[in-house]
Amino acid sequence: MTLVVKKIDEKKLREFKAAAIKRGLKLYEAIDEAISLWLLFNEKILAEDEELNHLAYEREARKLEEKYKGWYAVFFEGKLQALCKTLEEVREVLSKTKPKHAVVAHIGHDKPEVLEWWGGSIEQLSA
Amino acid sequence: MVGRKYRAIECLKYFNARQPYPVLKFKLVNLAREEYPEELIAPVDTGFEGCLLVTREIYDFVKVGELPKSSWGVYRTLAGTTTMRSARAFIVVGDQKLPVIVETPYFGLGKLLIGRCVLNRLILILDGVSKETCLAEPLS
Repeated sequence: MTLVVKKIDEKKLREFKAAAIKRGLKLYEAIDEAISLWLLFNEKILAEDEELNHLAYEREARKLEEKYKGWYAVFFEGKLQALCKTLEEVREVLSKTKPKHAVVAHIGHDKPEVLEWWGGSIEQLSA
Repeated sequence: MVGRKYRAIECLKYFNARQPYPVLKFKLVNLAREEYPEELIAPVDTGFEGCLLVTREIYDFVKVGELPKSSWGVYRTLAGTTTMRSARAFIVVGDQKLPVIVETPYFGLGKLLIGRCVLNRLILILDGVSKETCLAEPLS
């Protein structure tokens, strides 16, 4: 496909072209590689953010259990951001801030469960 | 009760396969009040105890309401146990908006299924002869 991009920093683009030439890559090949790397990097950052949100919850879990049973705790950007009495309040917070990932704990209610998954989704590969 | 009558509100054709299977159409809304860009159609799976199993791509849309890791579901399957990532969301089926837990396997890509946690909140007619799933209401 053809792509036209405006407002690119000329100095950066010159450096980018020079680096591509040094590696024997055509401009489109270098841009393609740059896009793949950027996507990978972005995914990695997001995964780290997710981990930070879970760690933040684990740090606060015991304290929250003592004081806020029945409330919802909302964690994003690596820290506790809100304590809400209802799920509607949680939605209000998240719809305003729109984080990519958040841990929403219903304190004292969220328990690990072992559930059943019978053979319902088993498909026959060959007759 | 035997003899009770129902009115079908909305029907959807079974998905065509060697053995056609019932499916349900719904909208998915995350906790940030965003609606998934397209309506989803998922196979009805009475063997799945959870609410909604989705692919990793769809899960990315609802992970704004993820449960703490310590509360993620573990499923006993015929092939051993499977741990799921779990998130809160809502689905809209017909005119009902239902809070659900959406799950995707921690390892692997997942698939789309509607399980008993949703099915047990609906009146659903599986008309295997006509190959249609219908949302229904009691005819009083």
